[in-house]
Amino acid sequence: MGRYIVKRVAVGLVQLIGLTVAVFFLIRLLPADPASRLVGMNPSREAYEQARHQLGLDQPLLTQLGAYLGLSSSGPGLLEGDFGTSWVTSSPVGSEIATYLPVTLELVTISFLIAFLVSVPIGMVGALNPGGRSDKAVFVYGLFAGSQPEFWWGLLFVYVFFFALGWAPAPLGSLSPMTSPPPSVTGFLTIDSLLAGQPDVFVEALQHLVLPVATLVFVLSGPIVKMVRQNMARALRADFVLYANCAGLPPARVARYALRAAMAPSMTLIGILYGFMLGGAVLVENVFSLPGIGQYAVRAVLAYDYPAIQGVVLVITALSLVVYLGIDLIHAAIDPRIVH
Amino acid sequence: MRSFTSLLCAMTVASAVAGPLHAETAKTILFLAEDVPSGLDLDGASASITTSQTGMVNIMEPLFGYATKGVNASGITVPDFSKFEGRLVESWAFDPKTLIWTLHLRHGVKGCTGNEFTAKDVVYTYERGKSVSGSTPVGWFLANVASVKGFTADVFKNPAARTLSPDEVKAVDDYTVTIAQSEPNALFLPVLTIFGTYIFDATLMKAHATDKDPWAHDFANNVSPASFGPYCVERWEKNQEIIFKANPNYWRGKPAIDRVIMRRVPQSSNRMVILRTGQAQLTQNLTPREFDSLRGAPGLKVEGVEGNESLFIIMNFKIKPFDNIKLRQAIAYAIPTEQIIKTGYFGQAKPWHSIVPSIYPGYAETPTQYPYDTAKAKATLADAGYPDGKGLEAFHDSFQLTYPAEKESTVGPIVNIIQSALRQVGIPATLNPIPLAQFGDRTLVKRDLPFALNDYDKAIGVDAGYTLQLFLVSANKGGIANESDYSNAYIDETWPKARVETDPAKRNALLADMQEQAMKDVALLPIVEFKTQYALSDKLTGLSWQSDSSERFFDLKLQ
Amino acid sequence: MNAIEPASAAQLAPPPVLHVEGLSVSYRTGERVATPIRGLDLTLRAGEIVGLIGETGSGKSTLALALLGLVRSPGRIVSGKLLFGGRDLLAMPPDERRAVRGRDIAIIVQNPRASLNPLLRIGRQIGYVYRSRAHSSAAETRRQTIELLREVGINDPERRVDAYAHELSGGMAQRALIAMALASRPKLLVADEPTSGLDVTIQAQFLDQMWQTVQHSGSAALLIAKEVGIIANYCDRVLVLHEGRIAEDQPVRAFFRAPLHPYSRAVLALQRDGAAKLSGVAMAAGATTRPLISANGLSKHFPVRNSAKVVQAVSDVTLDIWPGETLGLVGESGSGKTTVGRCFVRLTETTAGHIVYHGRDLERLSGSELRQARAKLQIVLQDPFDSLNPRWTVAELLGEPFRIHTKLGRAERRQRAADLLKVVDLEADLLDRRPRGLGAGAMQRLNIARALATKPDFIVLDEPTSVLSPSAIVSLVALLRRIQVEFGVSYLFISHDLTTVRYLCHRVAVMYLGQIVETGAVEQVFARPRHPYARALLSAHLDPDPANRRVDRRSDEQLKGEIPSPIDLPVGCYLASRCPHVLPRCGEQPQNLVPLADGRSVRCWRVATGDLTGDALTGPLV
Repeated sequence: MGRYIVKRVAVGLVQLIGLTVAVFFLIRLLPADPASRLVGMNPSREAYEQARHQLGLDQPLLTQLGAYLGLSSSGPGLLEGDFGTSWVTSSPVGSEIATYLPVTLELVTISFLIAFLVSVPIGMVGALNPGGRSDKAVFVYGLFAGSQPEFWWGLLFVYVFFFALGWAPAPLGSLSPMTSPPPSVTGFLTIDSLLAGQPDVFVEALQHLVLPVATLVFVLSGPIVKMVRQNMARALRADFVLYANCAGLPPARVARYALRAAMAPSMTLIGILYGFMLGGAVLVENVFSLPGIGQYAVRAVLAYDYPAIQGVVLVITALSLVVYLGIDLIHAAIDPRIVH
Repeated sequence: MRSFTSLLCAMTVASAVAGPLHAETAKTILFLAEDVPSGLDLDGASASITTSQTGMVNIMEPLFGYATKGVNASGITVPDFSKFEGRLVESWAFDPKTLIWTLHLRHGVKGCTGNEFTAKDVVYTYERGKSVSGSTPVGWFLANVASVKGFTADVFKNPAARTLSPDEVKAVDDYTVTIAQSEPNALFLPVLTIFGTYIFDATLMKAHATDKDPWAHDFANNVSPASFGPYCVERWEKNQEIIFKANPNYWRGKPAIDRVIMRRVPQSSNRMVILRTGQAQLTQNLTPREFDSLRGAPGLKVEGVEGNESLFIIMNFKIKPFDNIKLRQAIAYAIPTEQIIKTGYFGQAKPWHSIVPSIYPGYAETPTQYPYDTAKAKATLADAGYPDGKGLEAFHDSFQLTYPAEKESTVGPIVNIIQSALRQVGIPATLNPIPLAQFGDRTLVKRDLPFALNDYDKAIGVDAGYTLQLFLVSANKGGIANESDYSNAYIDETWPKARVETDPAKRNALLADMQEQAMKDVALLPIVEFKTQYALSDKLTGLSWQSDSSERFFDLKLQ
Repeated sequence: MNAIEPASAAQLAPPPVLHVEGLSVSYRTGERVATPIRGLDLTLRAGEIVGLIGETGSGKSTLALALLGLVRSPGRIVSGKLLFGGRDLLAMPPDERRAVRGRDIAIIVQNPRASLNPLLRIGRQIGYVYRSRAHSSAAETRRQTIELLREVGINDPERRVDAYAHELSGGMAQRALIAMALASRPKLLVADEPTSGLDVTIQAQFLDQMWQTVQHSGSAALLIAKEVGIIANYCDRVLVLHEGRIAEDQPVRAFFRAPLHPYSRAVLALQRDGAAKLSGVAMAAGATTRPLISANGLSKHFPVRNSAKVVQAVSDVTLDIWPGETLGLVGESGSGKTTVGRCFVRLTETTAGHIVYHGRDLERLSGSELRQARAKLQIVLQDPFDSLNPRWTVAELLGEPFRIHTKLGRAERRQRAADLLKVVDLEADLLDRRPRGLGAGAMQRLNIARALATKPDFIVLDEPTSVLSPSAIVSLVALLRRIQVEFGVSYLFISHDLTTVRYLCHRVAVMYLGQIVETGAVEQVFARPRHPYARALLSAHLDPDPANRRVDRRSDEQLKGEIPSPIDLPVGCYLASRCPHVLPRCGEQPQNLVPLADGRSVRCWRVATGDLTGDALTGPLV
């Protein structure tokens, strides 16, 4: 198993390097010129040239690649862990990603945990009582939740729960503007506030997460419930479940047998959804003014901020590879037939 | 898990009951914007972003400003563009023979760090500008536009030319500075009111210089170059919020509002909704429909000013068939201005009668106009050689009306109106939204858009001449924003004369002629000027407007 | 303990454990309703094993589950009473029924590995079953589980208890299931074709085990089987399921003497009498000086992925096949017989050793010589469906060899194809049909016809009868014999069906784990096998004669344990771990094939030295 992990990590590193170089060249094929964005109010020829020089765009492509990787003499590059400087904010891309990524991770991870805890029992009940009341209710919910995009639900929730009912805090971001955030250790507001011994900030951070998490949970639960239900129904028809009934095992135990068999393929879906949501949460981030990685990525692409684009692609890909490896390991832990 | 969830619900309800934001001992306002500053360096990559400019103008101070004209009908204080007043400058004199401006600086001005303002700060600012070491050389550009001596294009090619010499800008003593011009350019004072020439606190900046970054661009972009302005930066989280704290040493007195929290809320509907609950006190850049819906809302007011924002159409002279002047005029007649004002702007706009903002000195309503007239449009189209649009199918690609996709919510209805109106006359217009960055590149740098609608480009220098130089002079003769690639010999010859004309009356006459020529050629097609609007709590007063449209927090008062 | 004579059992009439009245089970799929069980009655008493036979699809498995009160969806138990110990199972509340099911009724199903939860270790699963019936600590449960596994004959139970289902062989899994079933000493054991898919010696071990356990505990057992041999050897009473009801219910000897129901008679006729039809020794081949084709020191091993180890499929096999004779090759899974067959026609390359054909090394041939050789060496495989391209017509299929090896035109090829059809007793109008609608027997004849097209000297027949019905087997085997007589073809006949081997083969070689353990004339080996494995194999053959039951015989032929893995083979005799006659020397010395005086060869030092004599066997194979 250890060898397997090492092999996967090594392959992943090679993939990342290949991807970095590929993205590096591909974004330079985009039709707009990042330098011209900088010279908005001052588009003199000289300013334009100056901007191009500042961004290093007047150099040959391979030299730019070398500088980005840190192979040239102009300072540290990607190979030393320096992601470069954003062309919009002039802040280091690495520290920007380190600020925004935890926001998204916090949102997506909490949403997935809750979606998982909510969806699995519902799926189970649906499989154990097919055609029953809860099954029908879930079917309707699945149709309903999947029919609108998540930002529509987000805006609706804001309108109903914040504006009309006043139950939720304003969609102003992760904390109220009056509260000063705790010192940043991990980047996760919830963890940092606990580490700093500020339980009131912790509670406030959770309050501000309620609506965005509810939006994501609402939308994610649909596919997860369906998948769990389907897999569990299939497991319940398996021979070993029949045999367990024959052997007189209590129904709760038999249900657990079936659930465990259903979990392995369901985990794969959940892992893929998670990797997808890292970028896919951008619309929810936008609605709730959360400074997440999706926002950062969109802004980087629209502003042709090459170092930021490259940095985001790299980080999200690396995260996805880690998630997929984790899923494979969990799958192997659940199902001993899988051999690595 | 269940008990935790119910605890969470209880707390949410409890906190909501606590009610909206109240300023208790210190007066604080929450200002919602579509973004917060992503940099605060005047020469940095964010200098062209309006939300970043808002940060810059509140933490730094200019040498000159405009006198106040008064409060307009809506409640906004507007400037008098004919009168300058000194800000960091107490009094000034100009010698037309030597072309030297002598500026007597104000005493006792203290910055956020407690440093006192003296002539060295002015010199440092110009040294920095001339070094063109930032991502975008705004300081150099403005000094160049004002014909400040030494600020020529030479500095880009010749590193030796980047050092400031005393015969350009000199500190005569601690409170006296001389600045020399290379020609009698009337734009000197207007330029010094633009944010790009605001004065740095030299001591602060030098303290944060490094070997690799001697002009502290990194510090300015990521920490704060707050110098002698009314506010200092208390906290800054890019992409999230920036908190401005009043500068107790500000030379006009401590600002009435102690803290301004500027928060990023990208969805305009959310900004509106939060404002309605009273949790925030000020916001901007909502869609015209949203502003309209807030007009009667309790506790809120919507204030607007006829500023310098306008809507115009670009038709590229170098791309057929737009080299045909009659065709351009036909299109001009076909634009239904009133309908655009009503449906696109909810009445908060007015027709535009020149290519220069009507509030700018030197504006002249041109004799040639193109009022909406479909019959005339069709007749002119026939004159152009395309009766009923026959023959225009060959130029199908040229009639794609391009506009920035990000502005869909405001510009969307307008382009639809224009498209139907043009089609009625026989012009095969289609719509083509593209990303803003690409739009900017193609209009300003590559100049290869045949047909486009622009609602955000404007000349920030408050002068018709400056505007004409930017937009109408040939691209290779200084027309750096000549988006339609217009080239007219008369204009190219007249502008150099007007630039150095010292007699205001004569200058205005020349500018009027240029505007008329531009109108005849439909160099750029002006459609409407629309109001710059703000939505705010009715307890907030003192909102003022300047040509960059950024809010000045110093003038605000909260009851 | 001896079996009680069924006649006297009826007099003693032990109490009924299960009494079924009027049971009906129906399935509704959409519009159609099928009722496999309708109004069925039966009684099972303590201490007796009842056999149940019926056609495929007659509802035997449905009945087995229904006896527990269970049914696979979308079926339903429509009506009936299941009186178990006086109480109606179907009328009980579900919890009570479950309790009864767990405690008192046990079931063993057909596919053992699918019945075990693949995600949990078998020890845990057995433990759950154990604990659902009695409160017990985790440590105590584990101990009990290990004991159970040991009782059912699983070696090394301390290690096996932590294995997963896919790590067990079919036989071991079936034993683990027995362990689960017997964990609570049930009153009724239902076994639904428990040995399908298992090797013959393993089947014998398993059924012996089951029989002993039932005798010890005095429970009732229902044994569902397809082969009458199993019924004859293990059951006291026989039930026949036909059209949803029990059509016949007789004590076993009476049943075999005189079956009442027409269906029973048909079944017996096929299985028992069919064997009798295949009598008469095959005609001895004419003597010639040189064998037609030989394998000398043939070895083949396959590398194991991600490891340096190898699977030793075939070790040092030396066989001669003379013109016009049939050599039988028998053995169980892992014996390597299929690999040997494939090496003979060079479908697989050898790792060591030669195949000598007409004096030439087959593996040295290439080009046109190889092609000519291939024309003369043919093979017929196990699965007739897979061997024929379903999109070709019969004429094309039979014409293919002519296309490859000759230059005949289309009309001529068609003519030859028609001739071949005649040889194998198929109608000529099949020429333009596709093989799709044909039965397995007819398809296998087609395969043989195709093999005969190039007038081969030698045909390898690799389990050609294993998927055929009994009647098809009889006619196919007769055909093969006729062809051999007519054309003088030699066969290498690979099979596990000893009856057909007996009929068709002149000589036979018995293989175990890649080695030949005994060769000789077929009468010699079958009548009196010498090697312990050959003895175990032949005595595991269950002949349908209730008067001569395996369980009534003294058995010193029984092998212990499982067939070991062909990866880590021991130094000495491969059978040492299982042999009832093992001595320390067996495990230390590698064993060689030693010729005996009567013309056969045996790979066992004890036999070669006369230590082990071995009695003659009885039965129809002799």
